[in-house]
Amino acid sequence: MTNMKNSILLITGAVLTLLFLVLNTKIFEALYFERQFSNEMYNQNLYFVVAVVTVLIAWGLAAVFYYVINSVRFSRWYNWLAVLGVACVAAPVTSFVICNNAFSAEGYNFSAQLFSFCVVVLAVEAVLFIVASFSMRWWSSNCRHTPIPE
Amino acid sequence: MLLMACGGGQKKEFNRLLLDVADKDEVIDAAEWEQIVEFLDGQKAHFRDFYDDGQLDVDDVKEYINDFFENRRPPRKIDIQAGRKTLGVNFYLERSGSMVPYDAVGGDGSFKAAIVQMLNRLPGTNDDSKIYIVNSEINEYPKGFSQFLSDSDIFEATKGIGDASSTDFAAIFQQLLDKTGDDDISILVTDMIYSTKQMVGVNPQKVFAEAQGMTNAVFKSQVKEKGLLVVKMQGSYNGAYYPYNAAGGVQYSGRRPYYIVVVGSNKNIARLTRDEGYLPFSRFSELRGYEDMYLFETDDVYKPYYSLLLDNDQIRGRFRPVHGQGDQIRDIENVEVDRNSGDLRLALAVDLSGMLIDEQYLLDKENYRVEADDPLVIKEIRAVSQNEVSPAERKHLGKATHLFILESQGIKHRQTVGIKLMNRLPQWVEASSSDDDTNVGGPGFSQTTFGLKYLLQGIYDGYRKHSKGEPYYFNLQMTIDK
Repeated sequence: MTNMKNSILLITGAVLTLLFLVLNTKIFEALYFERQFSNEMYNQNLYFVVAVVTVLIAWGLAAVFYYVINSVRFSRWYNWLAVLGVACVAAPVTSFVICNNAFSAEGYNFSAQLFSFCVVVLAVEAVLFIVASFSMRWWSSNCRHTPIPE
Repeated sequence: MLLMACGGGQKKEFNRLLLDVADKDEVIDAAEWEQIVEFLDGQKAHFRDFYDDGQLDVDDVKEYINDFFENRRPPRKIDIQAGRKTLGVNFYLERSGSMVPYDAVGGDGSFKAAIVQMLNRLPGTNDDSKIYIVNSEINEYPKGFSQFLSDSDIFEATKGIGDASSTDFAAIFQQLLDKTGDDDISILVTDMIYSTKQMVGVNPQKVFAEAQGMTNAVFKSQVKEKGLLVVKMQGSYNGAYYPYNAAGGVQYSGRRPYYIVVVGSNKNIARLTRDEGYLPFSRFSELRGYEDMYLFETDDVYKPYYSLLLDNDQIRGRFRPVHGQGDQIRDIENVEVDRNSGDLRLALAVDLSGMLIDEQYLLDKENYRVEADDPLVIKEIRAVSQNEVSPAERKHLGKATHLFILESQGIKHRQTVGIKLMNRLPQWVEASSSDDDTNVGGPGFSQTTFGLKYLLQGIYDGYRKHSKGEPYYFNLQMTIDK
C-alpha cells in the first residue's frame, strides 16, 4: 500500500515537472513579462533552456541529497533546507549567465529585466525542488523522513 | 524552433542575416536574396539540407525563411523575391490619329517629357525591353528602346506602322494581359478613346455598351492574377481631333487628357513600390502633367505596417496590449472607457506610403469601412507629426506615416476589428468622362475623354466579380477584448 502511494507521488512529481517543461513560456510569462525582453527570450528559445536548467538542478540536487549524501548525520530538516538554498542560488545564477551571454552576443542589454526574471526562477526552483524531494525521498535509506517525517 | 536555437554557430549567423535583411521591411528583394545565396554557398557544409546534388533548393530555403519568421515574435510574413532581378518591360504606344497632336511641334513637350522621364526611371538598361506601336493592329517598333527614347519626334518615327484611323482596344488589352508574364510589366500610353471603324452614325450609348462589354469580357479571366494601374495625365494638344460621329478631324489647340496604363502580376504591382529599384518609377505623381490615378487590383494587394499606440494625447480610456506581440500592437485587452468622457479613443498608426493610390483617396475616411461588432468609427486620419510622439512610442510608430483616431462608446465583448480601404472606382473617372465629344473646345473638353467611364467600369466589374463582397485594397485587423 505504501509502495503504491510512493509510486503515485513519484508519477505525480514527474507529470508536474513535464507539464512545466511543456508550458515553460506560458508559466514564466505569467510570472514576469516585459514585452521586449520576453519576446527576445522567446525568439532565442531561452525560456526552454532556463526551464531545463531549473528542472535539472532541482531533480539533480534532490537526488544528491537523498541518494549520494544519504547520511544520518545530514538528515535533519535544516540540512535539506540548506540544499534547497543551494539549488535556489544555482538555478538563477546559471540562468542569468546563460541568458546574459545570449543577449550580449546579439547586442542587447537586458540586465535589469533579467534580474527580475531570475527572482521568478528562484521561486520556481524552490517549488520544483520540493516537488522533486517529495517524488523521490521514499526510497532513500537514511533521509526518507526529511524534511517532514513520514 | 528548437533546431534553430540549438543549431551550430553557422545557423545562428544565418538567422542573424535573415533578421538583418528582412525583419524591418518584411521583404527580401533580389539583391538581398543574392546575399543569402552567397552566404549559404560559403557555408555549404553546414547547410546540406538546402542542397540537392550541389544545387541550392530555392523552395527549401524559402520554406525555412518563412518558418523562421512565422515562429518568431512578432510573427512576420516575408515577401521573398528570389531570383527575380529586373523586370522586363513591354511598352505600348497608341498611335491613332488623335494621339499624334500630343507631341506636335507647337505643343509644350510635356507628353514626350513625361514618357521619357517615366521610362528613364526604370532600373537596369532595358536592352531587352520591347516597344509596340498599337492602333488597329499591334506592331513591334523595330529600332529598340534606346533609339525610341532619343527620337526627337516619336510619332514621326513611328509613322506608317498600322492603321491610325481606329484603335482595337480589345486586342490591345488582351495582349497587355496575355503577354505580361511573371517577370515583366507592360506600360500603355493611350488617349483611351474607344473608336472603331463603324462608329459614324451609331448611337453613342451603343458604343459605350460595346466598350464596357468588351473590357469586362477581356478582363474577366485575368483579374485574379493581374493588377492594372490607370494614371490620368494632361498634355498639350495641337492638331486634328476626331469626334466620334464626324467623318473628318476638327482642329483643336489646348490641353487634353491622356493615360498611362501599367499592367503586372499582383506581386509585381506590389513590388513597384516595395523594391527600391522601382520606387522612382512608381512615383507617377511626380511626372509632368500628372492628374490622378486608380489601381484595379485584387483584395489584399497591400499589407501596410500598422500598430496601435499605447500612449498618445488622443487616447481616451485604458487598455493593455496582449502578451506576445512585438513593437506592432494589434491586440489589446482590459479595454475600459474614459472615466471623464465616457468614451473610448484609440490611436492607430498606419504606413500609407508605398501604394499606387492617390493621396486624396487614401486620406478620405469615407473610403474606409470599419467592421466591428460594436460601433467604432474613424474620427480622423492625419499625418504623423514627429513632435507629438513620445520617444517611448517611436517603436510602435515604426514607419507609419498617418494616425487613424478611432472612436467608440465602449465594447461589450471580445471582437475582431477590421479597417478596410475600399477599392471603388473614384470620382475622377466619372468627372473625366464625356458622352459627347462633338463640341471641340467646349466646357470640359480639355478635361474629359469620350466614353472613359464605360471602358473603366467594364474593367472594374471584372474585378468586382472576383472579389468576395466589395473589393478592398487592404484590411487592418485587430482584436479588442473587454
